[in-house]
Amino acid sequence: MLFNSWEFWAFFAVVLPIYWLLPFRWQNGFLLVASYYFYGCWDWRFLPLIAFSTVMDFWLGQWIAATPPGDQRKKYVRVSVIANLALLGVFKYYNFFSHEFATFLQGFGIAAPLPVLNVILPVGISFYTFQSMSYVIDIARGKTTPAKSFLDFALYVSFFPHLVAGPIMRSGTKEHDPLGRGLLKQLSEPRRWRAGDFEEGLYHVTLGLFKKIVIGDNMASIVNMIFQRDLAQLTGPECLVGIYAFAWQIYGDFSGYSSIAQGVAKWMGVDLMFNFRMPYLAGNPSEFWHRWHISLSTWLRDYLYIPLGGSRGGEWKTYRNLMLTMTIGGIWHGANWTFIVWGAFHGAYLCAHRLLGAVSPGTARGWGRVAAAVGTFHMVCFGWLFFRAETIGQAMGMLRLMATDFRVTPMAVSILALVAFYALPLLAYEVWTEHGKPFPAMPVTLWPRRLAAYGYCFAMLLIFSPSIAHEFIYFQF
Amino acid sequence: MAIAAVAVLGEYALRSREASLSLDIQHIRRIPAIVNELQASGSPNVLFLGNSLTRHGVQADTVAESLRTAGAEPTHVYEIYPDDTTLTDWHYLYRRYLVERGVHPDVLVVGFVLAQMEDTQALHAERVGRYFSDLSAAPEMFREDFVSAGDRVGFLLARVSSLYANRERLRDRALHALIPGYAQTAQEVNFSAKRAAEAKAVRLGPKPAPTYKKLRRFLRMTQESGARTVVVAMPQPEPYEVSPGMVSAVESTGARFLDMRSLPGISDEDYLDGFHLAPTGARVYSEHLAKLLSRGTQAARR
Repeated sequence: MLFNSWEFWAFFAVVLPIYWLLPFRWQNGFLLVASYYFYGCWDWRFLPLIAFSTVMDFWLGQWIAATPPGDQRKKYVRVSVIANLALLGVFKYYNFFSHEFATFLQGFGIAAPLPVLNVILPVGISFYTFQSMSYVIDIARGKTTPAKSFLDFALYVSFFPHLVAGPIMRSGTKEHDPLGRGLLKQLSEPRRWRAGDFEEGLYHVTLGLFKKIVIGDNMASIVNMIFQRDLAQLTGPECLVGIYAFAWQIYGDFSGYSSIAQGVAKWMGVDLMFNFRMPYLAGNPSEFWHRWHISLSTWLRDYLYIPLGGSRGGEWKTYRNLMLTMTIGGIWHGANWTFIVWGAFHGAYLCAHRLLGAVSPGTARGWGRVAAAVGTFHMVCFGWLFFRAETIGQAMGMLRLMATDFRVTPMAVSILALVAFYALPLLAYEVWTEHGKPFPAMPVTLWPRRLAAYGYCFAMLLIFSPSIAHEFIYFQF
Repeated sequence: MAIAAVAVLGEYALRSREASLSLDIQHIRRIPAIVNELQASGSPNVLFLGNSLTRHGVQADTVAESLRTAGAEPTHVYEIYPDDTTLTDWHYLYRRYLVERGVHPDVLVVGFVLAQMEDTQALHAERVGRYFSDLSAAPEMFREDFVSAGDRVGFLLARVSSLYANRERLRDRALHALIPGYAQTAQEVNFSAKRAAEAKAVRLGPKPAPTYKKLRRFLRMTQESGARTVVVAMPQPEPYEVSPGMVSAVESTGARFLDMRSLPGISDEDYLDGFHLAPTGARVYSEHLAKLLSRGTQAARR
């Protein structure tokens, strides 16, 4: 049941009125059933998996809270981390690592026919396991309190708007926290219909559908065409515009999902955090990661980079920690060398930025700022090439073409024009938003501007939605 | 409210100029007139139902002339050929414009190529909703054909909105005007998507045997309407399979199957684009078809 399907909106049209008619305690029970139904629509066989993760982390949270700080507490945390990572390991990484290990042994003449698991990846597993783990770790750190009710916690893990592709919500952050209000905390308290929720929800849903359907899906067809071709059939400029198209596809697709999730949750009186803040306006890699997939980058910062020592142990340790964090972030996306290279590239890019003592975010102005944003965008695109390529060989082949074959074909021009047609209006809107107060400014701006913006989005959704709807890219992670 | 008002204005503007969107819409709008002519023409008459293959492949004058030459009575020949249509579109089109008006041709000829008669053909909920059917067919349609929420909503939206029903046409027009080289790129994108779908089908393992439930339903309806129905496998430059299951589905309803996939006198040069017949090929096809139709008609009389 995709957010961009009529099935989802029919489901939501049933859920929303019933939800608001029920008293608070019943609301959570009802939402839990709805969320499990939503998840079961993908594959009901994975429901026990999410239930297992929920039960385990709920009880571990309770035991940690009841145990004084010390070894026993750490043991409970370790159980949660190992069990959650084991779930990920089995379903997501086993085949990759067993294949690589067998290949490695073959290099020494040792045949090791390791068994292959013929299972599909449970949708959203990377998101809910990370969220569940953060809850347990936060209790151990004294940053949050354990859930008072199992029902609330089960809903915190499975709340359907963010279940399959995030944002990865913390359990108990405060309202003024940049990570948004803690989700568990919100679900444990009665929700009220607040003035402005409808308008803000509509804004998020409209923007999300526009990003997903108009930009993401239209770019997807172009990107697939370029990346499915033999290298011999491509020129350098065609590869370059194919990567531009992918940069907008993945942004439209993923931020679109997050935005729809935010809007749907808002209509239920729940605030989800902003997962993206105009990432392609970033002027350097550090700023980019403050704007891109914020719930994952802050998760990696809080539960990996800082525990590794962060920037506290001197320059070299900082570089090591950056490289490790970003490479693991790459592996989180999938079991393939392309993701590992993508993560390592971003680690190296962050290290280089730090090493060169580059201008800190926000200090460049005017054309300097524009040049920094264009430069950062192209570096990010370099990373996207590895992220999207099927193999390292394909990525290297495309790089070679971009460096040696400068033939500008009609198809390259046509694709560039299509990317501009679909993405430039969003970019212009984001430039306007960047300077708007409050954020987001659209729901409260003057009505003629709202009319123009919503009218444009609806017209584009009506006329320019492609014939083929594509799945959200991040469902596979 | 303001957005709704703008949408209503857009809808009104499009409806007033809908026919100018394409020749195909102009043809679709002429279908009631074609059916009226057929009703008024008297016997014998033949109606060709198909898509752009029929538009390019069947020359009504040649068919009429060849039938006369073969000794048949002067026959009125009509054609209905909306672009990119397949079995489900034809089913509801025939139901709406002929069955519901109590009209039927003496002979109905339905031309197809490749897998166009299989149950798995893509559905065009928007076009069916806007042009080929109305709400009276919804119970049958929602039970038999448009079973997903997406198709049902698409059908209903197209009933009320021409903007929605014609969005692909509008999109293509806009992109053709704004994007240099769009036609070529769109073709490449479609080709690549088709290849990916085929590769995916191969990965998923052997294809299940095709089924022809919809074809049987369609032919039962046309036969019961009083039309002698003929299903024709049309010529293509590349040979293609016709499943015995399809032939038996046609014959089980009392309809007739004609295999005209390969005809003497038609070569690769007689195609416009590797798919549609050029006028030279259409002439040969129309003459052969008329001969076979005339033989069948005479045999039926005997």
